[in-house]
Amino acid sequence: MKRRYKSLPPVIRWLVIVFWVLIWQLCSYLVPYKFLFASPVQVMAAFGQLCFSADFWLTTASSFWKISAGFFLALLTGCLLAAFSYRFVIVRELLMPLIRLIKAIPVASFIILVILWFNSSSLSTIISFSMVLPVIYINILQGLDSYDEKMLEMAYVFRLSLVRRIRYLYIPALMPYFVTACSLGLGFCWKSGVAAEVIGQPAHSIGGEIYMTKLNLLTPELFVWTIVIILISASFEKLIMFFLHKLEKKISHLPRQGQE
Amino acid sequence: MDLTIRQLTKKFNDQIVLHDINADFEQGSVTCITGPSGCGKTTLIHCILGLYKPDSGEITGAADTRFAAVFQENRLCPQLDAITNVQLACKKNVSAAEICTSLDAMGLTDYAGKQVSSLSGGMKRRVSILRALMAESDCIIMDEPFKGLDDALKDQVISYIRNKAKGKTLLVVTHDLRDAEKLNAKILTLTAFQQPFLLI
Repeated sequence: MKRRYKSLPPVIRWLVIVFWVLIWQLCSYLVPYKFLFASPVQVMAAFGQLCFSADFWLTTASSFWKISAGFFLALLTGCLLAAFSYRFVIVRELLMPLIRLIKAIPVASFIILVILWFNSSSLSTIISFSMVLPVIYINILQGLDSYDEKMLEMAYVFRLSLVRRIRYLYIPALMPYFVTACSLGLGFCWKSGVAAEVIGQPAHSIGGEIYMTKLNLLTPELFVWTIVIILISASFEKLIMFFLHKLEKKISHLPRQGQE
Repeated sequence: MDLTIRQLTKKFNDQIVLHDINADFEQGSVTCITGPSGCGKTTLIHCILGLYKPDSGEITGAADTRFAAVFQENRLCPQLDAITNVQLACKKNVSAAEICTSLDAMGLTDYAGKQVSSLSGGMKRRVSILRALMAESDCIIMDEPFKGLDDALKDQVISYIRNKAKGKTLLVVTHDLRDAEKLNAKILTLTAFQQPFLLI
């Protein structure tokens, strides 16, 4: 028999966080070299300082804009390419080696190539795009391939228009694959995007700031930037998932007469 | 538009399912297609619907006919409610209120706004029948439409079909000859094709 997992009250979750912060503080006392490991207090102080500088917000906004642009471009391109690959076998055969190649190339090699070929200002956009594209393409194509042929026969017999087929048959069936693809892609885009910025050091970038903390041994600032990345990527993921669930609910109802 | 089938043969991997079938369906006629399991009833209607390509023979009139169908499996969109499933196959000028009235007649008054995935087998079957009846069509093809319906419900549905499908060609696959009687239908009986033994 399976053991049931009982969810604990929210206060316990907060206490768990407090527990780990205390452990963090304790660890910082134990590490002899203070520049190697910042305490929560030092991080909070550094965060407070950075918060009041305009550069901090400019850097955060710039990285956010570039990395999320890469994500959305990959989302759009991945969906379109998957649709074409599903419809035309030749497109699928042409794209498959390319997608496999992009998946196989180490991200570091990719970053260096992009720096050589383009300028570093668009680096994080190109890298997050390249890392997310295969995830979106493969998941959406898998969803299309596994779509029930019998429903397509039904659509054919009832002569459903392409718009109705897409909206009421394909999109609801693809939604789980799309959600999975987005969730995986969001994780990839932030990790790869920031890694690209660390190597390429474009102006006004979180990655560039992280590189500077390494040069100047500013561990508290490194921790702050890391926390900022986690917060942005988690909030971004929550926001995207919120809209996806809204969309899911909306498409599950046919507009009544005259609304379509 | 009349439908005419001449010398229709359909094979699946060298296994002959339909062999030299001939049939005429006049516009507005009601026909029940019967026969033992595996004799090719579903294959025949799939050929008429254009879902299977015959290996030989021809079906005339099908290209100009607008079909509606009740499939062996319901083939409803599980995430949509009953009204929306019916509306999906209808013309744009069919209102939700009109569909609700028809759902009432099928005994589905309280289930019109429920997601189809939450309905019982018999309810889904009735939604599927209603979708075929309300879609714009010249010919309605039903593959074992009364599967999962009790006798009282079946009679109610049959009388509704007779009423709604007037003027349209109706082809109903059934094992029960009493259904043909109730529908006042002609009967087309298929026999299983016997594969000749290969003597070596």
